[in-house]
Parts: sequence; structure tokens; C-alpha cells
Amino acid sequence: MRRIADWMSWNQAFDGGLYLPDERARTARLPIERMAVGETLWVPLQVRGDEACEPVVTASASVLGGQLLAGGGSVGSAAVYAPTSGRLARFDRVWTAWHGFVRCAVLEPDGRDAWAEVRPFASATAAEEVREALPSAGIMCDRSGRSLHAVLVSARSARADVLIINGLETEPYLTVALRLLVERGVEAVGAARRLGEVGGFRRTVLAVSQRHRRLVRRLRDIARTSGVEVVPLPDKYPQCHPLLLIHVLLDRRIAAGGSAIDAGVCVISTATLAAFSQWMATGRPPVTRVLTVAGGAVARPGTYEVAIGTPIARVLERAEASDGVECVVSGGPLTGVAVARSDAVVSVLDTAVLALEAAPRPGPVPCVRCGWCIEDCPVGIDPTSLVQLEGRSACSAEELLALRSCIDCGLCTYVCPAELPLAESIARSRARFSSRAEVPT
Amino acid sequence: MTGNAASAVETRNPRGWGWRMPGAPFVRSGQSHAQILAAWTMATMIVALAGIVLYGLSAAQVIAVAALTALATEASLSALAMRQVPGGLMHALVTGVLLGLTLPPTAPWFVAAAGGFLAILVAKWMFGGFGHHLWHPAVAGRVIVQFLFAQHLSFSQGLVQTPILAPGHLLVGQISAAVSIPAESYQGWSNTPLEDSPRAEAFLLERPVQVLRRMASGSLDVGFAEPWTTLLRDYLPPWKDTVLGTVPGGVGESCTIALVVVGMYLIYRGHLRWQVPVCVLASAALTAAILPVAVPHSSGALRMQWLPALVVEDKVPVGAAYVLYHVTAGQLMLCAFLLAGDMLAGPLTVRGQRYFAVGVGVIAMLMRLYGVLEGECYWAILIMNTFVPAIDRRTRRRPLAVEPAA
Ligand code: SF4
Ligand code: SF4
Repeated sequence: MRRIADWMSWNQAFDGGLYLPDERARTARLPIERMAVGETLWVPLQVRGDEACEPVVTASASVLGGQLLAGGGSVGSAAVYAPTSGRLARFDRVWTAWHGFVRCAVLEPDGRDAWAEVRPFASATAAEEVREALPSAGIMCDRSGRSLHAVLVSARSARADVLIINGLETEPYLTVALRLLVERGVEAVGAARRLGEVGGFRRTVLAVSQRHRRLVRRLRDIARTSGVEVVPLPDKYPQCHPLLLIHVLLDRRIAAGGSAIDAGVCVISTATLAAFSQWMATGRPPVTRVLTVAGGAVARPGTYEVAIGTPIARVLERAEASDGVECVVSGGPLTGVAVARSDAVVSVLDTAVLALEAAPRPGPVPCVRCGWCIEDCPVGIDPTSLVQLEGRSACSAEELLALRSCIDCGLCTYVCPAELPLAESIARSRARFSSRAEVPT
Repeated sequence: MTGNAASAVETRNPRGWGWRMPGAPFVRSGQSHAQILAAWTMATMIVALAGIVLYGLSAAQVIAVAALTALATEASLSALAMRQVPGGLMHALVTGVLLGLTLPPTAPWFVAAAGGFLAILVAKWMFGGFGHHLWHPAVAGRVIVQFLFAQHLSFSQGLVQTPILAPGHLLVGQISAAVSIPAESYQGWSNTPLEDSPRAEAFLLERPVQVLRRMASGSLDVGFAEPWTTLLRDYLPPWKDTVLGTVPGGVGESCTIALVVVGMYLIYRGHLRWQVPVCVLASAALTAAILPVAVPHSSGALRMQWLPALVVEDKVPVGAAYVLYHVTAGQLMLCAFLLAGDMLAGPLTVRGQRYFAVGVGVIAMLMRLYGVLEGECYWAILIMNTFVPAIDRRTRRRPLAVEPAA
């Protein structure tokens, strides 16, 4: 059926890709559930891998919810806010899934959840005013780890003319964008329109899964007069990747290894949009993450709103994960990262916590030449010949181009019946050969 | 829990989407090479079973000997080389059974044994083993024994009759107890009585492929009045027989219906691309439909009949029937569904496989019409296998990304 749907929307599909098993049957209809903050929060003070935020409060001070804890030094740099009110016990180190050990502020909530004085925006606020206030909003884009302000600035300098709100989740399990659009659809469309104005974009597109027909209809109704285009797209993985969104929606191509901004497009996730929307409505900086908690080892899967700094183990406990969980993943099952320590905490970059049953992995055998990796690669490169770069010391310009254009979707490894770690090998070769190419000779 | 931050930093995409760590993707499609091999084994076994029903226990002997030698050769070679590839034995089993399917049921045991041995040793291991060979091992083995044991293989001796079990003797009959039936008096498999020789359990007939080859070369005495009608009426068995497989031929070559069924199964499982059999059969049919055949002229000389598919005699489209016979007469179906679609010896991309399949169909038909070598479809596969690296080079997919501006 889905293949037929894909075929019918032939003008809106890319070559390659795959419809992955859905795994959302149990969670898609459950509303987002707010998780109460625990006894202690370990708020990570680092949002990007290369940039730690300097604390602006001192230990054993008491803080209010939404109070700046660290960063925010220069305009638009990363900033960390207190998720709730309480006593800042000390500074420490904590493990995050995406950056390993980072500095953190240990916060002991007092349970009052008192918030710092904030100023919401009236709906008629001029775009300039919002733009000026945005650097101090502390909204972080997941995945890139850059602040929304910084993203808009680079979009402006690259003369980006289209804003795409990425409401697609084509990986199994993930339900965050779906739930946010279902529950906060009106706000989302309004925020998308505001964000389009603030960023000065000519077009604002909200891409949603075409499978949720009622949602598409509703969003279209809401968006009728707002100038936001609601575009349903097939659920084929990795349609959610910015590069393929741009290719399918706008027929623009990105240079190998480039980003969406280079093609004049700004792609923002639904979660970031929701944070922007909340900031516009209440003036509060985002201090929670909406996470899909699911996976074979979870008894109560669902979509949870969790304060940043909550231990992942607590999230799993809430979702009633079984005790002997072996493989906890932050992010989608194809692009996520293994949570290496059980004392890791939720950070800005987490979009899902999946407790998967570790699949038995028989050892790799030689390539059986099925050609599936080539057929399913969304960017049309040839993974099975790129693995042969592993043992080589040089690669041709063509191969380097292929390495750079790989978008790390992981589909090649996913389909390979010979169990070859194709995507990992390509990522390794790319790191090896790109760094070599950048060394001046 | 696995993984560590150090390797995450090492493998991260400097510009792109996120960070990756060895480990992602954390889910797999669940299609493993073991499953693929199991499906192929099952498919070949079903066709082998059909062959055993049609040709009796001699066919079982051919298959068993070929399969067991292939297995033993693989086991001893991998022990000798101290290199165990998971699935290697299974692959050897499939290779052995496929080889057995290409041999005539009358083949002596040592021919099957030599084929199984040489298929694994020469075609598989001398090229580096599982996943590295250029030629399809089973096909290569069959072609080698065709040269080595020409005198033992009936098909190598031109005009001969080969057996098929008669009705009522399927599965348990002996193909050695066969009576020769003149082509003109053969009324089709189910309508021809065996009563004149009570001990007989099988017919001896000319293989349909052989008849078609003789027709193409003009050595069939079909007269000049209505040569095509004569061909169909006097020399070829009813078309239904070539579909059911109740015609003489190799163990797995004749039973069209079994081959189509297992082919559909493999396509359904996603282990065979439908483009391969479709392209092989379509290109072969098209070639047979266009290329000329020598038919007698009223002057007694031969004339070349181009576009035989369009011939109509007495308001009957005999030409079209002739093309249909070419498709189902034997070998071609086995090649299209089980041999040409082999993953290891075929091109990687769908586009490449289309070229490959068209090549197989056209070469097979050219060799059948104008060649002298037996086993034309097998030769076609070997020839196209040789071109697989070149096809792969020329059928790369076009990358989505463009070259970054310098
Ligand atoms: S990980 Fe890279 S090579 Fe593999 S399928 Fe995805 S884009 Fe293609
Ligand atoms: S998916 Fe694996 S086995 Fe198939 S062609 Fe690619 S590397 Fe080879």
C-alpha cells in the first residue's frame, strides 16, 4: 500500500530510501505526558561539542526557573537556563549521550517551581522587536546544537529565502513532531508564520507526513490564511533529512558535504518551533525536551516532556523499562547514538530515548552483491565499493565526493544482508580522507 | 551498553547532520544472507523435486551426487584453507543442486560428481571463494563437464532422443526402460499409448530445444507447403507439455511451471528482482521473433524467413506459437528464474541487471538459432558474467549531491 502511495506521489519522492517499520502503533495516539522533576537535576552546561558555557551563577545560590545559569556571553551563543527553582548545590561533571562528559550544574529543586520575571510578546509585536529579543531567548536547534538566533543570522547572510519546518519523522518509534503538531497545531502554525517573518523568508513550508491525513487536513485549515504552506510528504526514510526535504520540496541540490543553508534554505525541527512558540507566548526559555520513550524493552512507551538534566535512567524507570536493558539509544534507531553510561542525563540534543533489545549480530560475511545498499542509498552513492577504501591510503576525487555526500542515514548498514558495517566504514573513511585533504601539501 | 565518546568524536561528520558512533543504526532489516541462501535452497529443491517426479530416481541420483560432491569439496577446501565463511556450505549446496538441474537425468554419476567438484574448485575457489567469483559456479561446472565428458552426455551428440517418464510411471519409473517413439506418431504426453511394449516406462523423444535448433538450421524435413504447421504438428509436443515439463530435457530445465512458481516466490521475498526473468524472457522472445529461420522453398532450396513471429498459415498464427515454444522449450526458464538472477555473479544495480538479462536472452537465442554448442543459455550466462565488472562500472547511480564549488 505504501509503495503505491509512493508511486502515486512520484513527483514528490526521491530515488532510494525505504519505508521502515513504523513501531508507533502504541504511542502515536498517547498525549504528551509531563514528567515531574526529580530530586536532583544535573543540568549540562555544554550544548555543543566544542563550546562549553561559562557559569554566571555561583554554587549554593538559589535560582528561579528560567534563570540564566551559564553562557549567553556573546550575542547568540549557547545559553543554559534553570529548569525550575531551587538551590544550585555545586558544579560537577555528568555524562551526556552526545558529548560524553560535560560540566553540569547540580540543581536541587525546591518544589515551588517559581519562575523568573519574563515578558511574553503580544501577538502584534513587530518582527524587528522579536528579532532583537531572540539572542537572549536561549532556543537551541537540536542536531546542530546552535542557537536559533545564530541559525537565522547565517540564513540571512546566505540569503536564504525558504523556511522549512520539519514535521516529518521517518525513523521508527519517533512521535515527537507528530504529537507536537497534533496537540499544539494552532500554536505551531502561528509560530511558523512569525518565524518566517522574523527571519525574513519568502516562503514558509510545514512538511508533514502524508500518512496522517486528518492532521494534514487540520493543519491546512489552520494555515489557510497564514501564508504557511502545509505540504504532506511520503514517510519514506530518510525524507526527514534536510537535504532530501530541499531536494523534494524545492528541487534544489546541496553541494556534497554542504548544509541546507548553502542552498538558501533554513530547516527547523518541530521541537525548535515549539520552543519558539512557547517563548513567544510566555517569554520562558525552553527548559524541557519532548522525548519519545519507546523500544522493545519499554512497557509504557509514550511521548514525555522531561526537564533538561533529568537522568535518563529516571525517564526509563517512568516508562517502565525492563531491568536488563542492554541497548539504550538517544535519538532515532538509525541515526541515534548509544547512551554509553547509565548515569547519563537528558540534554538539549536528545529527541528520543529508546530501550532496544540488542539484536543478535552474526559476524559479517563477504558482500553477497545483492545491490540493496546501492538501491536504497538516498543520495545515490555506492556503499559497497566505498568500504574498500578502508584498507587504502588514497582515494580519488570521485570517491571523496561520494564520501562527503553520504548523509549518515545508516540505511546501507540497515539493509545489508551480509551484516557489513557500511555506514560506519564510510564515516570513518570520510574522517580520514577529509582531514587529509585539508592538510596543505 | 556499548560505545564510547572517543570514537564518537572520531567518526563524526564535520559538517552534517549529527554525530555517529559505531553502533548506529541500532536496528536491522532482518534480511540476512542466511535467509537469502535458505530461500534459494528451497527454491532449487522444489525444482529438483519436480525434476525427480518427471524423470524418476536417476534424476534424484544426479542431484544428490552433484550436491554432495559440491558440499564435500567446499568443506574440504575451507578446512584446507582454514577459512570458514558462514553460509559457504549452504552456498555450495545450492550450487550443487543447480548444477544437477542443468544435467540430463541420464548423466552417469561420475559426470555429476566431477561437475560438483569442478564447480566449487575451479569456478568458486580459484577466484577467491564466496563473494569473489566471476562466473556462476554451477553454470561454469556444467560447461566444463560438457567438454570433459561429451561422450557420456547424450545432449552433446546431436540428433538423439532422450527419455521422459510416461504417464502412470512418474516418480517411480525407470527412464532406462524407454521406448523410442517416432515424432509423427507422438500425440502428446498424456495421449500417446505405451501399450505395444508392456515393460516400457518412458518415452524416448527428441528434446523440443533440439527440434527448434534443427528447424533454424533447416535440417528438419518440414516440407514447403506449410512448414510451420508441420513443425508444430509433427515434431513438437503440445505446448502444454512444455509448460508442465512433461518433455525430455535436463533435470530442472523442462518444468516451466515449477520454475515460474519458485521464481515468483523469490521475487516475493525480494531475493530476485523481477526485472531479471522478465528481461531474459522478453529479449529472448523478441530475438526469436525477429531473427530469420531457414525454411524450405518450393524450388527445394532454403530461404531465410525473417520475422518468423508474424507467419500465419491457414489463418493460424503459427509464428507466434513458434516463439512461445522457444521460451518454454527448456533451459531458458531455468536460466531466467534461477541462474541469471544469482546475486553473486550478476551486476549490482537494477539497471545493470537489466542489461545483463537482455544480454543473456539475446546471446542464448543467437546461439540456439545459429550456434553449434549445446547448452546455449548456460554459455550466454557465462559470457555475460564476464562483462559484469564492466556493466557495474557503467551503471552507477547518479549521485544526488553536486560537486562543491572550489
Ligand atoms: S549512510 Fe550514506 S552511504 Fe549509507 S545509505 Fe545512507 S547516505 Fe548512502
Ligand atoms: S547490501 Fe551488503 S551484501 Fe548487499 S551489495 Fe551492499 S555491501 Fe554487498
